[in-house]
Amino acid sequence: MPKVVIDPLTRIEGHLRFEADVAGGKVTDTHSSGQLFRGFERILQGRHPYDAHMFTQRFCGVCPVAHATASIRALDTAYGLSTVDIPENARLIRNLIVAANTIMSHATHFYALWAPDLVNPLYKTVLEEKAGETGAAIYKELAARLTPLAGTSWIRAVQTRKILHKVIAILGGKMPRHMTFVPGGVTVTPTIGDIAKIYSFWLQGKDFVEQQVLGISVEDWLKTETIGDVANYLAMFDDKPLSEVPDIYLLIKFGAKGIAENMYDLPVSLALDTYGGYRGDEPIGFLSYGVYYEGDDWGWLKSGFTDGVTLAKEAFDPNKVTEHIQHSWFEGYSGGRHPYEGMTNPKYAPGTEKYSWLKAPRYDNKPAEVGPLARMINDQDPLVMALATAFGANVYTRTLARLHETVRVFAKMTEWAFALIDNINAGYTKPSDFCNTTPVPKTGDGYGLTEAPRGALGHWIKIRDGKIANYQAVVSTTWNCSPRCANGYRGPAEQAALDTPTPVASNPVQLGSVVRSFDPCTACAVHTIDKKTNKKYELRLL
Amino acid sequence: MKFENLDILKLDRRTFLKVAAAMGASAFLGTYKADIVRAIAEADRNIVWLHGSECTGCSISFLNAEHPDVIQAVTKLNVMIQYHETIMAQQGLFVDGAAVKDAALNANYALEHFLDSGKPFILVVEGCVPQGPEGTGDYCKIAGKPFLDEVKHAAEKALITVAIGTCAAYGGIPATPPNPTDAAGLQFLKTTKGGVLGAGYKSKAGLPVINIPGCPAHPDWVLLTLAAAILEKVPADFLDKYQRPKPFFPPAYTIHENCPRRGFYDRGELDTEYAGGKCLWKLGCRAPVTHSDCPLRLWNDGHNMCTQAGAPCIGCVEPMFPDGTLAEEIEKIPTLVGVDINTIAKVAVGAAAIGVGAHAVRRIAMKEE
Ligand code: SF4
Ligand code: SF4
Repeated sequence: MPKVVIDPLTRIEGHLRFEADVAGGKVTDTHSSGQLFRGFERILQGRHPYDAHMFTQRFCGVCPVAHATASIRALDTAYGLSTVDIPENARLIRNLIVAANTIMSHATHFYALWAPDLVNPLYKTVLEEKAGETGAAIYKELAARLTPLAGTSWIRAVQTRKILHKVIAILGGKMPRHMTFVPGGVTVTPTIGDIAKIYSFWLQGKDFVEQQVLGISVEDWLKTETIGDVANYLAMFDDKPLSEVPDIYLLIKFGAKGIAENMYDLPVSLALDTYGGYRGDEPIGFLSYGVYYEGDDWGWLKSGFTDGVTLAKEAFDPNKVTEHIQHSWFEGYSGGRHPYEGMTNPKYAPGTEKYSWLKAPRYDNKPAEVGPLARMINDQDPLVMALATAFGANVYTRTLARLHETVRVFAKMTEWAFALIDNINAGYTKPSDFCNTTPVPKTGDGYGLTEAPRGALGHWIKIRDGKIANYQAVVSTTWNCSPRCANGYRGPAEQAALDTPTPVASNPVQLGSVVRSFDPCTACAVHTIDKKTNKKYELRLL
Repeated sequence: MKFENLDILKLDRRTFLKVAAAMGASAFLGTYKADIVRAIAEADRNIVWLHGSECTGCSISFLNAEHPDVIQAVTKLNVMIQYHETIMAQQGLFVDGAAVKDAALNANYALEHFLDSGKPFILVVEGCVPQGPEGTGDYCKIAGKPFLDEVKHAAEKALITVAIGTCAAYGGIPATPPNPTDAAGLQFLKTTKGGVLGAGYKSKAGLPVINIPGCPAHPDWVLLTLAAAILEKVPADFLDKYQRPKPFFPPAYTIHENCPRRGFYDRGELDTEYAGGKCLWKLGCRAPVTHSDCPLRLWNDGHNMCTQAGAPCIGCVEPMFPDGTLAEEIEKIPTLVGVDINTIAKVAVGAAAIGVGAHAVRRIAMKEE
């Protein structure tokens, strides 16, 4: 029974080690292990609260915006500000920055991080063996588009993603690390000219999305809601030579066994719909916290928890979040603890039942997948619900959910940009229309929940004597790539990787593909210690 | 190879400063960018890019480079990226504990194979190096090995070693007190020389670590410095005392001097609330003690920079970053960059006085009273 270890799992952010036992060409057991520990939260203690969002956005260079958002929302609440106290212009600017970064991150993930797996030599062999010339043609097209540093789509995507950073730079000063979020609003006061620039970048992005990714207009794509619509969409391009079809057509058609082999009677497919899902013998669910201001509310993409087995959706209750450490390199308690009462006392102990720097967050004691698939499911997006019902949760639906969310968020950006123009035209341009500057409170507790591109993200802050007394972050990748919990349930990626076909142990491409389909980002997924005093930090937040 | 123009990088300091003053530092390098691009085209260089305790922000920033952009630099020119975890197709692979011996599949094997080949290469390091717990480096492991060991091993063989970002250069946020992972930069811990490679470290080309700080580093700083390194045209006085390339991090002046909001400062119009559109001094702007060409070069293809967007500079290129408290007026921070704040205040005020007008400074002083 070969034991396969991927370390480092490349094309992700941070350092992740993934171990799999393989028997009969399939994965039979898995261990996901975070390999980097930085301790940011500890460094924040005793500092000025303003530093929180500046520091925490440096958790991660791919989704700094998400951390800045969670942090600034935590600060807003700790400063006693609720959504209505944040000027509308600031809410719109925050939304635009979050949206631009989500799109940038999704595009980078799909093209530069995940899709290169599809040009792995293994697929060449499989496609050519089973489908002869057709298979060779499919592989050739995938390679021509997706090979790192050379593929046409790869290059165009990596170049186009820069315009989203320019959008953020206009509203945020620069990117990565936009600088303009402050408690109470934003520092930036864009002019109509600035927003016109943003709109012009948006139009450039639209060209890419429509020409390269979708082959149809954004508006038409958003009308795709059922499997029948998907079939009609494919039919539009079936007669075209492969070199002329849009990227998503290749993925939808050849990615799924259910479509290529069952619907089109092709002898082969990439079969991404046959692995990376859940067996259902361990609890699993889909969790999202909601994201984007909508009027005076939060959650244009709704929050919720959907049970992975029953598919029943329930309202999200923050009190049901706990973190376990039984299999993580920490000690001090058993079972699960709410982040308010969390404790972070590290003990590196390789070769024991503990195997990761990641804790194991659980919702109502269940492991939960977070990210675009979870967001689309909890938002009851018709297309993603239809795909998930037809194909289940797997690498295929997870990836399509990410692309579909990208289009939805992209379309929404203009709404916010135009609302901002209307406000500016109506004369809402005073400093107080952008920021409700509020002094640092002596004492204040706050939490900020949002969604990073890769999933649910929460920050908790406690201010005492005008300084940060405690800071805690529970991040997306900790949910997805968590190790086992006290109940012995595997984390979502560990569960999803079970049964993954691994015909050649020395080239476990499908396994890498499953883990990458979660868009792991482990730099921010690790917790805090003080090795010198080895002191226990009681993180009793709120 | 003939790149006469590039000898500008070798100009003696006086002439350099004269030219730089006449053209503005960014115009200075911008003018020679074409030659540098041509130079990369004709050179043939390998790059090994390692990630330690980091966030990938510098790589992401690097991908934002324009004219040339990274794709041009890498695909059209003879630069071979031998190892870069974020973009390479391979991954680290072991079966039953043994490394898969295939460089096309196994990233670690590809790296070791390359390092053993003896071919010259430029080592780029992103992220600081955790030395804990107890000096083992176990807080950051790649392919089962502490990153601490890997980076030392690679640095021994590198022709030139470049630290990208404030973390790799000086330790950055992870190395900030209480420095939970005992992290350090390659050749510095904050302002103290040493780091994990030691104060005496020299790469094969006889150079200390070239530091390109920033959180993240500006892509131009990285590309242009790599170009100079690829050409082996790094003049002796190219680096300041913190080993930063002087053209981008001019020792003689700070961001404050070229800030788009400088006019407000000179008139003593200092914001005390955010989004006011004026000078950010009282909101904690650290530009007066931060040496970089941000306001001339601007970010994201020239679209903006921190202070222009109303965000106080947080001094992300300085070795002590993020020292003190980011939100406080600099006069209120006891020490900065290891220097007494009064000295700095004098220098900052002095520069302002010589520059645009002593009356402004007086007016500020009066307002402050
Ligand atoms: S203090 Fe900051 S905002 Fe004010 S002029 Fe100087 S650099 Fe610009
Ligand atoms: S202006 Fe200051 S904070 Fe902004 S990038 Fe430059 S040095 Fe860093």
